[in-house]
Amino acid sequence: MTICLYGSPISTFARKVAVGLELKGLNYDFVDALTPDRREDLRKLNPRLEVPVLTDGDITVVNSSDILQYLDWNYPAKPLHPTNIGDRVAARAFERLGDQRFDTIVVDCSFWSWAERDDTPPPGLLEAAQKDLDETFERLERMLAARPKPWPFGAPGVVECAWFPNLAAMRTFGLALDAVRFPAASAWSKAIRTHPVFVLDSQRTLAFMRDLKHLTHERRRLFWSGDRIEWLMSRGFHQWLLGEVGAGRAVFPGG
Amino acid sequence: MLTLYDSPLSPFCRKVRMVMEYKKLPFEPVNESTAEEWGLFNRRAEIPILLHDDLVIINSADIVSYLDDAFPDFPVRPSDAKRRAAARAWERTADTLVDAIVTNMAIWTWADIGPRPEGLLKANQAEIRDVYNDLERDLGEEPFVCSKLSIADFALLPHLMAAWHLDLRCDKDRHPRVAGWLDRMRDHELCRADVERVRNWWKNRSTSTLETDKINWGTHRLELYLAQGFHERLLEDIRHNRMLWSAGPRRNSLRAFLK
Repeated sequence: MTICLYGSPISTFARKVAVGLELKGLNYDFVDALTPDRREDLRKLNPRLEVPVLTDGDITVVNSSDILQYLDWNYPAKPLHPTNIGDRVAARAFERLGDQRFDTIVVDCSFWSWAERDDTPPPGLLEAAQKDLDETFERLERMLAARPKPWPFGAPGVVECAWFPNLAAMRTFGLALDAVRFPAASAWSKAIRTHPVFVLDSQRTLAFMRDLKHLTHERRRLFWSGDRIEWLMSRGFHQWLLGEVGAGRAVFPGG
Repeated sequence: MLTLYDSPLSPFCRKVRMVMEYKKLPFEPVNESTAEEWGLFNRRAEIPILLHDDLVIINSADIVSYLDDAFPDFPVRPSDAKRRAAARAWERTADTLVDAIVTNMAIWTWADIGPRPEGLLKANQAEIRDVYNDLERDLGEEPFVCSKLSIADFALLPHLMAAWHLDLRCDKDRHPRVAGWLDRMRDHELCRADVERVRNWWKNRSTSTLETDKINWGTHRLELYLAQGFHERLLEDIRHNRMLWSAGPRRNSLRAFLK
């Protein structure tokens, strides 16, 4: 059976799955499914029009954490989830923190770096983001400080896959991980960013971002899903977001 | 020792509780708890929360996975890879899309935040019709969503029973298999016990402190509401201070709607 990943170098969740497949040493075909000409093909696989989607023979799996769980279930060698059940709960909690909190905040601040925009970030956005990120890093720091180095769960796995794309990109958007305040998190971030599997993925995305202006990917209208909407609005940036919606610059899953 | 922070008001708690009963696990339910307590275990102050000795597990889908890993008897995840992927996909559809459709309609039956926006019912009826079409197709000739009773059935049931009372019913002629499945599920003793708990909660509602002047739309509910074009109404609700945010400084207060 052939595994195929429908992803995109611009999608943090698709990159999470790509590095997961590579850490497990699984061969796979890759399709950038976020080009306009593949839109209807993607819709057949996932009506929400989100990547990543993984197909394996006649099985289709949607959602990055479900895909990594599927891979460990079907290909148990080189597991991405810890085998000890208590560790698995902890790893899953930090995977979720990466997916639902860290990713949300970093991506909400990323648009002014790659999208076609005529404005600057709404006043206070980066400050609110950094404040919430620091709170998230505090939790990460406590977990990492109490666990083996450099890999808290013995080997790179779901937590590293989930955090990596945004650890690598956040500086570009004006956000920081303070090495003095969060030494364990900084050391962990460095270990990830120098691991060959993650280095290769970074190179792919860098090359893609350099060419992005000449590609057909949507850069005018932004794609909004639940967590990213919720964070912006809960921090008081509803005026900006709902302005985007009113101006027709927002796309929602499936639309 | 297993402890479940539970509420008959939350479809996510109901799913986990039915799974625990199906797996015949002894546990202590904590029903009269507050968001302040939930915040000790879950920074979003949401339930269900499962305590197993010194482990804390949050998020209903993660709790279900954990239970099947820790207590392999009476599994709720199919062992066959294809069915397992399908069961998880249905669980996610139930937790995100079906919950959003049903909750976004249910809100107006208890919240005191002005009239329901025009067009909301129609938009959600169209949305749930697609879900029923997919469910009708996937049921085929089988008694349950993934052939045998699984997490897919437990995840869908609380939402689709609520849909029955909210003008979001399936059409028996168009979706006969869905209607048959719903009858079969409602007859199951686990589901009957679940319905009983929900009924009792609503019956004793006057003694409870459900906050009705603010609502927490939550992630997927908010996304669906905006995708359906109700952003102007949402802006109005924010301006009138009718919102709660699980992610924000103003967390859920007492018994706001949660997952």
